Amino acid sequence: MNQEIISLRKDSSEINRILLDGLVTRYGEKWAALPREVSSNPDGIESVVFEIIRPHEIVRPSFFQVWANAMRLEDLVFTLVPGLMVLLYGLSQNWNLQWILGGLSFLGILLLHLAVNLLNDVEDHLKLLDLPGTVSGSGVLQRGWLNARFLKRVGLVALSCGVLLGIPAVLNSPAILLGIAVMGAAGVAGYSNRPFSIKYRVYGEFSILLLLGPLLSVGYSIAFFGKFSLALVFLGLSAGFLAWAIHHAGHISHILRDETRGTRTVATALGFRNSRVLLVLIYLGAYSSLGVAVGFYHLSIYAGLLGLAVVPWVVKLVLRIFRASGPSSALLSSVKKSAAQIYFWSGLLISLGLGLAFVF
Amino acid sequence: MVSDWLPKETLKAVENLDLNLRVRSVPEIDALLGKTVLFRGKKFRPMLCFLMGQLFGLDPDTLGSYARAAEFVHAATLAHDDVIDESTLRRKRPTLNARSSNARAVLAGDLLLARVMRELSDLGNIDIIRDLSATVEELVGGEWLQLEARKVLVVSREHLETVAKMKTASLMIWCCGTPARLVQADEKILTACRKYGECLGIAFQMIDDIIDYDVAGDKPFAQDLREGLVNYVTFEMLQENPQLERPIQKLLGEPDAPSTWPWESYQVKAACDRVRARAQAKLEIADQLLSQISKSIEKPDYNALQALRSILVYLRERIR
Repeated sequence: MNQEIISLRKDSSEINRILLDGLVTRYGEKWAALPREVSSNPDGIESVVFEIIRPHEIVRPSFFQVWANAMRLEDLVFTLVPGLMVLLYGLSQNWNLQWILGGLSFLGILLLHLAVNLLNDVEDHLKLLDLPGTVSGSGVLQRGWLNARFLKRVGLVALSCGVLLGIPAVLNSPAILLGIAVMGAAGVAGYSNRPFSIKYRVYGEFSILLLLGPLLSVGYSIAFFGKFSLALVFLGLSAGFLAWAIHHAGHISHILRDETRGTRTVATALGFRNSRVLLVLIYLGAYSSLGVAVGFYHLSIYAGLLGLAVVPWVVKLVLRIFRASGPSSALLSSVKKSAAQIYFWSGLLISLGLGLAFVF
Repeated sequence: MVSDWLPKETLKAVENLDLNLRVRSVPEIDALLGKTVLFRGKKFRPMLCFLMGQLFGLDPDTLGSYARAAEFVHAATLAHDDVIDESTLRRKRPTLNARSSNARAVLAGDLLLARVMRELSDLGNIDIIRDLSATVEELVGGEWLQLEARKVLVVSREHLETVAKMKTASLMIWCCGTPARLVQADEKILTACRKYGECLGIAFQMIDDIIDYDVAGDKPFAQDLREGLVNYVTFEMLQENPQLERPIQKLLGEPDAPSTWPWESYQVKAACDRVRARAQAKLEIADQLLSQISKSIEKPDYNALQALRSILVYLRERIR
């Protein structure tokens, strides 16, 4: 493999173009330019070090795998699972399913989520936050599989389509859905973009609790059935807590990196030791909400019991985090993935419980 | 050969570096250290110290005690590491703990650190002493994290970089920063010198990890894996080939090599290429920093500058 290393000043006029196109001209040909490091000299002038290689030498997997990585399909559980739970709950309550509105809204939310993933990747790439050593996104841009300009276009198309597909449901139930839609759109737009950049702020995590929690479940319910119930609010809250647990677990393992970058998260604000306690409280919040939904608002007992089946894995995860000597411990490397698996299986099992309630 | 590109003054200073402890109460310790961790080491860290000092126009005699301190700290960590890893061979010779006992190896390492504290206290530069204390903390922290990471398959890039910075780079950072402290360079230049040491140290670790997967290398193949550690190359291989997780997990910490390794040679090559690119990026930054440092010195020693650049070239060639 022919690879070279070049360095360019971060404030140079061509940096943004190179980052967007992923290409640089060398010896009269186009070479792929992959950012590898950012450094600053004693006068504070930053340089970006690129690895440049001939485009045909980049080893790309299949088209499907490239896009599966780019869209971070595994993340879609955050939108798929709540949708499934709401659908099964509504059916178990013999609510009238609005197939077309529901289907369009579901698709719209999926596209919005995809848009967030793609645009977030582009933003972090352009800000040089995702480099080998610090990649938190899909990695497709850093590997040269796709370029940022194209990914941004696809993201914007997904965003536009997502918004358009949601309009019929909003028009059908403007009272609540408009508010939810505006908050959702603000969340999508502001996640990693200025001026809000909520991803990099403490309150960003609380917005995850709401946006991926009760707002999402209520929104789905109104779109699918034209109504909602408090059981769904608390079920949504439970899902929101589990989603927050994923982000918080990830932030615990990145405390030192975030402190260096000046990124404020709840974990950096609380410190390593207290963050672990908060994780326990978040999981308690998740299961308490589920308990309230079952105990006070007549959510199916099957859903409650099956939802509790993942508790041993929650305990295992929490114990691993408490065994870690500090934020740099290797024991924390997979905590985000474990928390995501807990979310997925919780959602699937609760859905199974709701399905059983529907059948029986 | 190192001697080919070292300036004469540095070569002489490194060759003549006095590493005798002259422990009156227990002379056996001197002998034991001389046969093990202080035996014919490359003295890379003292060399860095002398070269950086020469760049700033410092006399090697001024730096002698600091260079000695660096080598003693390095030797102490080797002695302690061999106890932790239960190693019996180092540089193809029996380790200190193998020659005597674990207890004596720990005590010998402690003695080296104590001697460093005494000698640097005599010199009286509190900032340099504070820096070295922080460095020893980093060394301990790095070893602690690595110990915790044994047999852990899923590690993050950040973890690898943190351990490399603490275990490998921290002492090099001190060696590069100390001459800047001695000439009372301003904060920006001191930071640049330390950053040069950091880039060098991390690149070193990456290169070491590439060599770990070189069948023609000095060490047994995939030694890190057999010691239960996921290094940079193993990490990159797992990132691109998640199907290798289970087979590699089975190998992690197993001292005996399997009859066939679970990966294809192209998978190792691709992983090595990615780590190589990152190491080269670090070396590129180190080169830029050297330029900046030399520009800030009124009369930089160009022989020393060339030698510091040659280190980077030598490292690049090692992984070409």
